[in-house]
This record gives sequence, structure tokens and C-alpha cells, in this order.
Amino acid sequence: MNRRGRHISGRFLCLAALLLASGFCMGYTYDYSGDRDDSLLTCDKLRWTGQSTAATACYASLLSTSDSAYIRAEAQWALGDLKTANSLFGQAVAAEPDNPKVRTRWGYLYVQTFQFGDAAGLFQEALGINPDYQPARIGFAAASTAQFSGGGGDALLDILEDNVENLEALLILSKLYLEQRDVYGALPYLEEAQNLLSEDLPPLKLYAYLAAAEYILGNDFGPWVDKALEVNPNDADLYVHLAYFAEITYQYRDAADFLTQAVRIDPYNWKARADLGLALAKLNDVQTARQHLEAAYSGDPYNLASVNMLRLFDTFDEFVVIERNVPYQTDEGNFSAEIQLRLHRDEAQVLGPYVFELLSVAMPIYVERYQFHPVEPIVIELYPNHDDFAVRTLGEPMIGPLGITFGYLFAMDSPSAKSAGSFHWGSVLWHELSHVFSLEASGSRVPRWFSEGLSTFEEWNSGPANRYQVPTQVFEAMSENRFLPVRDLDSGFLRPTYEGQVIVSYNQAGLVCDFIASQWGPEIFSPMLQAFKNRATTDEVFQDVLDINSFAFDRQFRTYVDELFGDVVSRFDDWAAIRNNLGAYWSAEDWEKVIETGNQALLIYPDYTEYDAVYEPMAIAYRNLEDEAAELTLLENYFERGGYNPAALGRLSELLFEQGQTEERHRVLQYLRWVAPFDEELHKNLARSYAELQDTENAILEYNILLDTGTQDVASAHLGIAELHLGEGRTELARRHTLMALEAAPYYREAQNLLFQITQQDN
Amino acid sequence: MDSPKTLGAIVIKAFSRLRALSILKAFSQLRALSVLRALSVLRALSLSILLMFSNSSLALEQMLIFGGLGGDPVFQEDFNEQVEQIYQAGLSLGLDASQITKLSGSDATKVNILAAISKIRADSDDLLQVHLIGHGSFDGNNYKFNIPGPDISANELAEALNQLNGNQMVAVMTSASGAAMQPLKNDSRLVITATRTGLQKNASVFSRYWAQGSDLSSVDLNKNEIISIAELYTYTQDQVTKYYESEGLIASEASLIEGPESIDADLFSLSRIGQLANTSLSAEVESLIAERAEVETKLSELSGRRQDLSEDEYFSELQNLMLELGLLQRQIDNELGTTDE
Repeated sequence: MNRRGRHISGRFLCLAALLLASGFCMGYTYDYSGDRDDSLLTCDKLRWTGQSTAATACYASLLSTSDSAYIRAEAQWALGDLKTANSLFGQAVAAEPDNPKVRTRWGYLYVQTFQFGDAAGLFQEALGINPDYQPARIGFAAASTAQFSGGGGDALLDILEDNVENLEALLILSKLYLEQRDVYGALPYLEEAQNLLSEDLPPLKLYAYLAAAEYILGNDFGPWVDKALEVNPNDADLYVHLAYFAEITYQYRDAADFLTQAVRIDPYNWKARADLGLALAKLNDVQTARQHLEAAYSGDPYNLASVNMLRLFDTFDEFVVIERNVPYQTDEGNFSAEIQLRLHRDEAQVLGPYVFELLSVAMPIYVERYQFHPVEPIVIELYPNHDDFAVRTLGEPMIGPLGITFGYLFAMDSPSAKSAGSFHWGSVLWHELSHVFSLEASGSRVPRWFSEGLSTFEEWNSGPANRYQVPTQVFEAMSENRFLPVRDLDSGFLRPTYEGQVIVSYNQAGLVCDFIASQWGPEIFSPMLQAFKNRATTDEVFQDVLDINSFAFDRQFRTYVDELFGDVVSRFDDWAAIRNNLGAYWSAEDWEKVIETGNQALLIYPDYTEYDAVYEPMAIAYRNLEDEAAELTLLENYFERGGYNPAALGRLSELLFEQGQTEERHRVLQYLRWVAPFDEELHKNLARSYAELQDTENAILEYNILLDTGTQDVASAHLGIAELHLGEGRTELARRHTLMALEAAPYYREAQNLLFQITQQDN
Repeated sequence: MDSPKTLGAIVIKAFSRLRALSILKAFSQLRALSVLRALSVLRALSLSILLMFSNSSLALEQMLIFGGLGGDPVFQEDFNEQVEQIYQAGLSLGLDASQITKLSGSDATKVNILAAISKIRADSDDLLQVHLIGHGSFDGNNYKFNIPGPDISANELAEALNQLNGNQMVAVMTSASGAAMQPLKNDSRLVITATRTGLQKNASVFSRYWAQGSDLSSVDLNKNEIISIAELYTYTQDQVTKYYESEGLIASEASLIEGPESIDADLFSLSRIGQLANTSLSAEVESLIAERAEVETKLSELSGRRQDLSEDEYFSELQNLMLELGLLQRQIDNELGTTDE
């Protein structure tokens, strides 16, 4: 199979999985309903006690001895022939149309292959036959929670809480808590699950979760590992489960170690081997990762995770790695951070200097703020192809759609991955770098809300954007009182219950950190991270470090955001309506009305500068009315409030140029680097602007960027460099570049004149 | 003395041979200098030599500009304006009324278009440019340029143009124009279409930027104050891409430029800008241009020897020639009264 032939983005590892002849995509799903057919149960017990040969023979015998399509479907499923199992389930449903169990188990097959929509349909059908059929309700909850998608989170909890005498329901509930490191929330369910264990129910997942609970608490989880291995010495899935909880709680090294154990126990567990490859890739051990992925691919060529990551590694030939030490200074002295920057070779000349410029500014801020010096190289990767970046993120739910951090390594979209101006790549890099510090300073024990909150806080307060960038759905959420208590904020990221909740959670977390900084000072962040490192919970950290309980904090936080955004939140519907009206006037080209309506919106909330803000249409309206003064004032406001649309800022720079406002224009041009760095005109303007401000080094850098990226106007670039060199007394360099300009354009008068000037100096 | 145009043609062929020998290889060593740019320099030099031998200021170009039906007043106004812009560009070359024909609006009928083509002397070696601006259509078999009355097809255009001798450039700047490529392509014709296929049916923005760039100094990449078709195409292609990006749209057009190896887009000039615009050349200036052409020959010859020289040797010789060229250029500017010293 040509592994380059298929490439999917996103998290889903097994699309169209029913075409697979073999392979465990999510792991076989045991029947926890308690009414397992005896013949199947006999085989199941052989399986979960590690007697795989006997189990295989047992299931195989059912294929020839059982008249029931359902039994044979289950047997084929257990033997790994998902395609035949699927077909047999279809026959079983036809043979037993009123048996909800058949549809329910068929649904679990689809859950295993990540076809959640199909699974949900089957569970619904089962409930249509019997609305009280609990296994179908639990299956529905299992499918929903497996997707990390929201949609009725409370309903799911109700289903699960209604079934606390079901082992599977208890395991799902405990998992939801463990993912958020809330072991004490999980414990009641895990203890109840232990009470329910019987010889007819598989105990392995329970033991794995119990081990995970101890692991998360930092306790010795060995006894539970031993207990699981007593039941099944070949239980590689134990370590796969442990790796899952390690990874979802940022412990990427531990995840890799657990998966190494899994592969040691069962070298033919291709899923575990593929997961190990992916885990090692996140630790930048590309060579070893590739070895495991190649092995996983050879054992299971349908595992798309392996295919995709190997394909990504193949493209690394198109990338260059720039290794450089970035010096920084703190009160303690001079230091440097090792950086490995992986950029596409076509983008390295443009992005390389800019990334290092950002890093040189960010490093002293972050070192000081988080009291942490990086002790390993920081690996940064920018991908021009968003799908390639998405492959890097497999296995990480709902984290940073534009960037993702795994400890010392972070990957993100290159600005070329999306249309110019659609995102602020400088802010994304700033955000992800902050994650490196919050993760490593806390031993990767920082809760998700706090890490995201700190990164968002840094974007708004220290980064190149340096302004609030709060989207409208956040105001809407505030108006509907949807902010979560800070102690529950992780669930907004991991288990969102409504569309857009992840974005709302990012912003809420950022505002929480903003509030903390305003009340306690940003220097409190480091002690908070240390407390998390010592395994304190959010409640404990608030109490011990901030000296406030989280409930009181929530009240004060609410007051804080009311002061910041009270106007726009209380008038959210009005504000939305005004902006809609502006759209109508825009379409009608009623420029005066556009301005009038836009001003109404600005009176309510002038800081909104997202893509649908009123600034741009108002600026165009002013332009159409030939009121350049008003246009300039408006665009200056837009810029100062964090607006970053390249067309609007380009227009602002033109107006500033006309006004002779050199330095202000320069600020705008410099800012545009973080939004649209591949615009040739930007580099031309920057080069001239730097030259005007006598920043020779950066002017030459910009001209060289033009040359390295293949500008058509070679002559002008060389002439610009020549003039700068001459200004610094570097005559020979000036001469050479002048001649290169004339090579490209022999009639170029300015270059001819400069050559005369240089040669006159020779005489 | 040989007929100047014949000698000019010989010079062009000589340069082509020189190019075939080593210039391409030499230019490939130049930092960031693409083959296209190298050829553009070479062609610019060739054009200068042709200037030297011409009887009038520039009798090399003939230009036909046809603006088709807009379909609505806004389009019509745009097309008419673009036709006028290109017409003015042609005038800046020093062409007179006998060398440029523009037809737009109700005048751009099939009869008038074919008549305009047939007015060009069949035995002329002049370079002919044909600019078509408007809407086009493709029915799966034939491309047609939409004009008042019966539309004119690409086949009909090709048939009419095939009766002429000299090298031609035809720019079909309409929707669906990609379908005109095949009928129009031949051994003496460079064809530019605004779209890649006949299926790209949305109104094209290509002609907007073509006309816009016809007098912009930023389009003149080799700074010779002549905007060549090659330079204009580069500009237009870039602007079309930026237009779709800025509008947040998927580009519904992708232009094509195809022609025989012997015809380069730099051979055709659309306009002069700056000091050369609308200027007639005196005998003294023509003489200086002739001297300048000799230097240009030496430059080309130096490029051919580049591989055999060290960097320092090459740039030392280059400097001497560039100084000589620059001095001649200053004298020319003085004669033209356009010096910028």
C-alpha cells in the first residue's frame, strides 16, 4: 500500500474502519451488561486472562457450531475480522429485529472504529425497541465521551449516574474525572466498581484505572499493575490505558515509557507500537519514532495514524532545522536557550529571523515570570500545510487549533497555512512558548485551564499583539452566565457541553489569569505553578497561594469581568443588532449610515477588532467619502486596539506615509510581520523604512529576504543594499551590490549614478 | 547599407545563437537571476539595437486593441477604460495612428475586427500585438469573443492572423479564454489567456491589472523605462493572485502564456515610461544609442565568458562596461533634455 496515498487530518484514526480486515482501533469492547451469552463468556474469560490461543480456538469454534448470526458476529469481532462481523450483525438484526442487545453490541463495534454517528444511530434504534434498555443508554454515553465532544454533557452524566450498578458506566465516570486529575472525584466510582466485580466481568480496565489514579496522585501504582498482570500477564492494554492518562495530563515522557512497556509485553500489539511512535515523535525522537511506526505499519498497514505520521516524516526532507542559542539576561546574569527551529526550506529565510526576534524578546520575560530556565533545547516547528500540523497533534483533544505544545516541543501552523491575516502567527508562537514554560516549570502538572490561561494572558499582555482579543461568543457566554467555576474550568476544554465552549474557556482562563495578575501581581504565577508541581488541586492552590477559596475567587472574578466588559455584555443583543445593521448599510453602499452605525457600535465596545469588527467597513466608508483624516484616525484606533487585518494596516501605512509620520508608519509595518510575513510589498516598505530610520542591519535583512524569496525586482533590492553599505563605509560591498543591480537592470539610472559615485571615491 | 529591419532581424538571430551557446548557463550563476530575467535583459539589449537601426522612432510594433461587449454598463465602462489605457500605452512607445487600432463598444464588430487585421501588410515583419478585452464564452468546442453582432471565434481570429508574416502576441483577456489557446497557438505567435481552460467562466479580472500595469514604473523590472509584455504579464499574474487572496476567494482564473521558443514575451513592448515616453529621437541620440548598443554587445559577451572568470575579474570588467554604458546614457539624457543629475 502506498502510504503516501492517504492522508487525513484531525484526531480520528480510523475512518471507514469497517473496510479494515484487521486491527484494533480502539481496543476490543467487552460486554459489561451482565447478560453475556455463556458460550461467548467462556471465550471472553480465556481472552482476558491472557490465554489467547485458547481464546482464538474458542471463538473460532463458535463460528462453526453456532446457528446464531449474533453469536458468530461477536466471535468474528473478537477474532478481529471487523468486516465480517459487521456483515453478520446486519444478518443478526434481520433475524432478531426486536432484540435491542444485538443493535447495542453492533453500535459498540462502530464505537471501536470511531464511527460514532453510526454507533449513536444503532443505540437510538435499540432504545426505540426498549426505551429502558440500559446497555444502549450506556453505549450512547460511551460513544459521546469517546468523541470528546460536548452535546448534552449533563444528560450523559445522568445516564451514567442512573447506571451506577454497571461496571462500564462506573469506568466511564471515573475516566472523566481522572482526565482532569480529579482522583478524589473518580474514587467513589472506582470503589463501587470494585464492589461490582465478579468472575463474569473483565477486571482489567478497572485495575488499569486504579493504577492510573495512583499514578496521578504520585503514589506507587505497582500493586495495581501487579494485580492486572496476575489476571493476564500479557495485558499490554494496561500500559496503553496508563499512557492515555499520562498523555492527557501532559506527562509525555511517562506516556512513552508506558507504551514501551506495552510493546515489551506484547510486541505484536500494533496499536500500542503506533502510539509509542507518536509519543516519541512528540518528544522529538524522530528516529526511534520512525522505527516503531514503520514496525506498526508493517503489522497493520491500515493504521492511519502510522501512515500519516510516517508521511509527515517523509516531508521533513523539505524542512531545514536552524539550531541557535538565544541569549537572554535576567537579574541573575546572562544565559542562553538552545533553540531548534524546523521550517520549510521555502520559508526559512523569511520566518527564521522573525521567530528568533520574538524568542529574544520572550525569553527574559518568561524566565523571569515563571522562574524557570529551559534545561533542554526548545524545538519549534512551523508547518505550511495545516494537515501536516494536524498529524502532529493526533491524540490531543481540543488543544490549540493553531498550535500545540508537548513539553519542550511545539508545533504550529505557519502563517502560510492559512490566508494572510486570518490569524496572528506571532501571538500563536508567543502563546505556545508560554506553554513550554508553564508545563516544564510545573513538571507538567499544571492543569489545562491554567496553562491555557497563562498563555492567553501572555498573548494579551506581553506578546506582539499586546491587547485583549475577545471574540463575540465570549461576550455572549458572559451574557448567558456561562462562565464555569474556576475549579471546573478544565471541563470546558476537555468535555465541552455547547458549541464554542472551548473558545469561551480559553478566554475565560485568560481573564482569570488577568484578574490574578491585577490583584496579586503576575509574580504569583510562579508559586502557583510550584504548588501544582507539588500535586496541589486548583482549590488547594487558590487557598494556599492566593489565600482565597475558589468560590470567593469566582465572585470577585465576576465583578472584575463585569467592570471590563459590563457594557458590551449587558447590551450584547443591541451591539449585535447594530453590527448587523451596519452590514445592511454596507451592502447598500450608504457610507454615511455605515459610519453613523459604526460609531454606535464603538460607543458600546471600541476594543473589538476581530474580522467582523466595524473598523474596516467604516474605514472604507470614509475613504469613499474622501475623508482621509477621519479614515486615518479610525485606522490608528483600530491598530492601537490590536486590529491586524493586513489590508487595513496596509492602508494605514499608506496614509501615515502621506502624512510623513515615519516612526508611526514603521511601527505598523513592523507589526505586519506577525500577520502577513510573506507579502513582498511589506518587505520592500520595511527595508525602506528601516533605512530611513538608519537601522542598517534590519534594512539589509529585509532586502536579503526579498532576494532570498525570489523577488522579481532584484535590481532595486541590490541597489538598496548597496546604498546602505555605502552609508556604513563598506565601499566594496556597495560596489558589488551596485553592479549586481546593474546586471539585472543595465539602464537603472539610480544604480548607474551610485556606481559613478563609488568610482569617483576610488579616484 | 542593408535594410535596417533585415539587419535588425539578423541581430536578433545572432543574439539567439549567442544565447544558445552559453548565456543561459552564465546567467544561471547570477544570484537570484532567473532565466526569464536574463532573457529580459538580453531582449532589452536586442530592442535597443533594433532602435538603432529603425527608420522612425519605433516602427516595430503594430497594435490592435479590441474591447468587447460588457453586458452591463459597469463592465462596459471598465472595458472601454482598459482599452483606452492600453491605447495610451501604445502611444507612449511613439507609435502613430497608423500603427494602433482600437475598437470598442459598438465599433468592435466582427467585420471591423477582421478589417483591422487585414489592414496590416501581409508581408510586414513588424511585431504585432493584439489585445482582446471583454467577455468570452466556450460551448465545449469553440471559444468566442463576445462583441456586438455575431461573436468572433478563436478559429476566425487565428485564420485572419495567420495571413500575416511577422511575430505576434495575442492576449485574450476574457472569461473562458483558455479555450482560445489551442486555435491561436502557432510557430510565430505568443498567446496569453486570462484563464487556463474554457471552463473558467466567471468574469476575469486579468485585463483590469493588465491595463493598470501598463504605465507603472514598478512593473519595469529591468529599469529600461520600457514595459515589456513579459514584465506586464508577471505583474498582472501577481496582482490577480493577490486580488483573490484579498477577497478571500478561491481563484476562478489562472492565466497561461505559451509560445514557441523563438519568441519571448520580452520581444514585445507595451509602453515607454519615464523619460523615454512619447519621445522622438534625434540623429545625435540615435548615434549615441548605436554606441550604447556596442557596449551592450560587450556586456552580453562578458556574460558568456563569466564561467571562465573569477568573481573579481568578472565584476571588474562588468564595472568598466557599466561605467561606459552609464556615461553614454547620461549623454543621451542630456540630449533629450531629461537628465536627472
